[in-house]
Amino acid sequence: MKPQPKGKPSGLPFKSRFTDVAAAAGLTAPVIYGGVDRKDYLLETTGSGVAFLDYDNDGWLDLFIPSGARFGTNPPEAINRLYKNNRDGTFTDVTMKAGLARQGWACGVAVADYNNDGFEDIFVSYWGQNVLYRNNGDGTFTDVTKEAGLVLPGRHWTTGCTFVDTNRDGHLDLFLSTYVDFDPARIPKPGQNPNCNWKGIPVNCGPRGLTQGRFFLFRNNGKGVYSDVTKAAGLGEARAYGLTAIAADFDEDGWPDLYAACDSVSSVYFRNKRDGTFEEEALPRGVAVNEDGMEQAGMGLGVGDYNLDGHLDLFKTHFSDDTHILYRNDGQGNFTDTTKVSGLGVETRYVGWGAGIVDLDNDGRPDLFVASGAVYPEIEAKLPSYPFKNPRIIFRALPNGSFEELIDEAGPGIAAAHSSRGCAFGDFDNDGDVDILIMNMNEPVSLLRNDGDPAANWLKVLLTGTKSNRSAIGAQVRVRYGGRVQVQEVLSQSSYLSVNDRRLHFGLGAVKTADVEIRWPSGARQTLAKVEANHLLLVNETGGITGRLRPPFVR
Amino acid sequence: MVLVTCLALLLWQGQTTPQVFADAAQALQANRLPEAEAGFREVLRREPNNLGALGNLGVLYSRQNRPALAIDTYQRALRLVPNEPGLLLNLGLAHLKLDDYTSAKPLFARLSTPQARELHAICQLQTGEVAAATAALEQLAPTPAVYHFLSLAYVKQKDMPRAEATLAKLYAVLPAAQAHYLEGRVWYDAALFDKALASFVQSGNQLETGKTLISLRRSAEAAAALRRALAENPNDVEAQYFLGALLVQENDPKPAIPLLTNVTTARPDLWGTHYYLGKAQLLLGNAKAALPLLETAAKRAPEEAPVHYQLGRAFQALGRPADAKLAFAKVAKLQRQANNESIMMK
Repeated sequence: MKPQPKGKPSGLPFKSRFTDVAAAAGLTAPVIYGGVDRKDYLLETTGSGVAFLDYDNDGWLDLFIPSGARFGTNPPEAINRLYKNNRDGTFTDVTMKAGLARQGWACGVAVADYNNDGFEDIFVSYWGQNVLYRNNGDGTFTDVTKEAGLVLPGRHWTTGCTFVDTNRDGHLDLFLSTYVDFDPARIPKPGQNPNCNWKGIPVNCGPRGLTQGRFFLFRNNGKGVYSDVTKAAGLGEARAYGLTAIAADFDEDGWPDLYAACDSVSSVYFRNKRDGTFEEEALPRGVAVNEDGMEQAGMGLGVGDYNLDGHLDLFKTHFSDDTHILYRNDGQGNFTDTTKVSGLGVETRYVGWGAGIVDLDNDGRPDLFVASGAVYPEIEAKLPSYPFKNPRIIFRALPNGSFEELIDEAGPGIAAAHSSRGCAFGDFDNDGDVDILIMNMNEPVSLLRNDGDPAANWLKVLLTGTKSNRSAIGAQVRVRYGGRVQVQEVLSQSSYLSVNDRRLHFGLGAVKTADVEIRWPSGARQTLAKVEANHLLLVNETGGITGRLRPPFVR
Repeated sequence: MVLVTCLALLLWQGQTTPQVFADAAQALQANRLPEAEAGFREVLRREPNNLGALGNLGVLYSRQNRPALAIDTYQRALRLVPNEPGLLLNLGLAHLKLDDYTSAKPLFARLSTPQARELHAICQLQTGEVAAATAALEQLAPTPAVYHFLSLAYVKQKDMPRAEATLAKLYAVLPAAQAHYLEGRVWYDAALFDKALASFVQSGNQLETGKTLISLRRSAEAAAALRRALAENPNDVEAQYFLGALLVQENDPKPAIPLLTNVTTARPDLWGTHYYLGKAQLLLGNAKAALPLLETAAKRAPEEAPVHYQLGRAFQALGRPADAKLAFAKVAKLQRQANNESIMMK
C-alpha cells in the first residue's frame, strides 16, 4: 500500500484541542516495559493497553494501567496501577489499597461486571498467567483466577481479552487471543535470522518466524466459574499472531461475533452461528487482509460507525510503511476496504497501536484516532527517518465523507512524540467530550484533556442490564440526529488491548435532540424519542430511563 | 496466429520435414515470428523429438518475451541432450527473464565459458551467496557489467569504500549517462532508493526514475516520470506496465486498462499484467471481465496469494460462493505455507 499525496488542507477549523494533563493529574509513574535503549526480545516491544473504568460507581472514570517488566533487574515500581478519580482533575494511586499490585508482563485489559454484582471487574492478560480480579465493592479486588477456572495450562502470551455474552444467557464469557509461542531461552538473538533484521539492522526476532498463537473461549456458567469451550465452539484450529480482541454484532443478527487484529498475518473473524459454535470467515467477509489481498500487521481496532449508515465499521492500525485500514460494513458483516477513498493513504510513517472511531470534536461525524510508536529504539541512531517516538494522529471526518490528517492542528497533546501503545477514550472530567488516556513505553501515561467547542452538542448513554449482563456488553445503541444515524456498541475491549468509557458518547453537532434506540443483548428493544442533548442518559433494561444528568453528572 | 497456421498448413502439404524446417528457420531469421512458430510446431508434430525445432522454438519464445514457454521448450530439448551447452545457457537466460536466479544458477554452474561464469556469479549474488559471488566476480575480466555487479556485491557486504571505488571505474570506461544508470541499478538492487533516485535522475532514465519513485512511495511523481518515459518511447512496454499497475493501485483503473492491455500483447507470460487488469476490472465493477484475467494470472502464478484473493472477490461478485470459497481456501493455504516456512523455533 503506497501513501497518497495529502492534497490541500480543507481549511475547516477543528475545534478541539488536546493537552496532556497527566503530570498535573498526578499520573507520574512510568509504565515500565522492557529495555529503554534496546529491546532484545519481542516481548519488550508490544506494550500494554489501558482502561477507563468506574470501579467505585461514583460516576467518575478511574484508570487502570497494566505494567510490563524488564529482563535482568525488574524495577520495583513496575506494577499494575489503579488510580482513583478525585473529581477535580487529579487522581490518587490506590493500587496497594485495592490489592492490585502485581509484577509481570501484563498486556491487555478487559473490564466488565462478570458476576453481575453491580461492580466492574478486571481481567488482565499476561505473558504468563492471566488474572481475573473480582471487584469486592469496597475498593478492593480479589484474584479469583483459579476459582473462576481461568488458569491456562502451560505458558501463553495472552494479549487480546474481551468479555462477551456469546450465548446471550446474561452471563459474560471470555474470548482470548494469544500472540506467539514465546520462550526467551529458545529465541534467536537479534540478527541471527532473517526475521531478526529490519532494514538490514539487527533487531529482536518476530513475530514472523515464531510459532503463531491461538484463541480461547471460556464460557461462564452463571456462578462465576468458566469452562474452556474453545474446541467445542470451533475456535481450536485457528492460528495467528493475535493481538486486540473484540466482540460485536457485525452482521446484526443479534448474536455477537468475534474479531481479532492479527500481526503480520490475516486477521480472524469468527461468525457466531447461534448454536454455541463459530465459523472463521475473515477472508470471504473482507476483513482478513487489505484490498490487495496482502496480510498486514494488525495491532489495534477501532469500532464505530464512521459513515453514519447505522452499521459498525472497523478501523485497524498497522506497522510503518503501511497504511491503517478502514473497513466499511454493509450491515450483514461483509466489509469493503475504503482506506484509499477515505483519504487514509496519506500516512505510513508510524507504527500504529491504539485506535478509535470517536467523535472528538462533537460535530456529529466520528473521527479516527491513532496512538503510534516505533518498536526498535536502536534503529533511530542508524535510520533517523524512523524515530522511536512519534506524534499521535487524528483523521478528522470531513463533511464529504473522507478524512483529513491532523497532528499539530489538534493541540500539543497530539503533536507530542512518545512511543505509545494502548489508548482508551472516555470523559474523565465529565465535561461532555471525549478525552484520551495513552500508554507510553517507559514513560508516564498521557492523559489528553479535550477542550472542545462549547457550542457543539452531544449525548451520552450509560446502560445497565437486568436480563442481559449488567454491564450491557454487546448492547447496540442507534442514535438518530439531524437526519443522521449512528450506531455504537458497548465493548469490553477495543483500541489496542484497552478499555473505553462504558458510557457511549455521541457528538451531535448543532442538533439539540436525538432519538435513541437500544437493542439489548437479551434482544429487548427500547426507543427513546426526542432526548435532549448535552445529557448523560442512564437507562435500565427493564426500568427505562433512570436518570438524565447534566455535566458533571452528579447523581 | 490461427490464420498463419491455416495458410501454412496449405503450404506444407507435400513438403518434406527438412523443407518445413528450413522455411521456419528462414522465417525466424527474418523475424517473421508467427510463421516461424507455425513451421517449427509442424516439424514437432511430425517429429516430436526434433532437437533443432525445439531449440529454435525456445529462441523464438524468448524473443517474443514468453519465457515460461521458452523454459518448457528448452527443458524438452534438454531431456534429449542433457548436457548441450547452448540449451543450458538459453534455459538459464529464460529463467533470468523471470528473475528466477535460483533455477538459473545450477545451469550456469555446468558451463565454463566466461559469460556463464559471470552469469553464475550474478545468480550467486542474487541468491544470498554474496561472498562467493564477490570472489568469482573479482576473478573475471573487468567489464562494465562486472564492475556493476561487483559494486553491488560490496554494497551488500557493507563495504562502501570498495563499492564506491568500483563504481568510479564505471565512470572511467562509460559515458556519464550510462555510468549513472548502472550506479543507479546498484543502489536500486541494494534497496537504497534515495541514492538510486539521484543516479537515475542524472542518467536521464525516466523509466528507472519512475520505478524508484514507486519504491519511495512517491506515487504522483512516479506516474509523472513514467509518463515522460512513455512520451519518449510510446512502445516502452516496461513503462506501460509500471504506469498501468501504479494507476490501478491508486484507484484510477480506466487509463490503466489500455496500457496493461498493450503489455499483455507484448509480454503474454507476465502474470502481473493479467492480475492488474483483473483488479482494474473489479474496481470498475466488472467482475465478468475480471474473472478470465484473474484466472490466467492464477494459472501463471499459482503461488501468489493476492491473485487468488482477487479471484475469490470476483467469484463473490458473480454470485459463485463455492468457487469463492475454494479461492479463499487457497489464499489461506499459501499464507500458512509461507508462515510455516519462516518458523525458526521448531
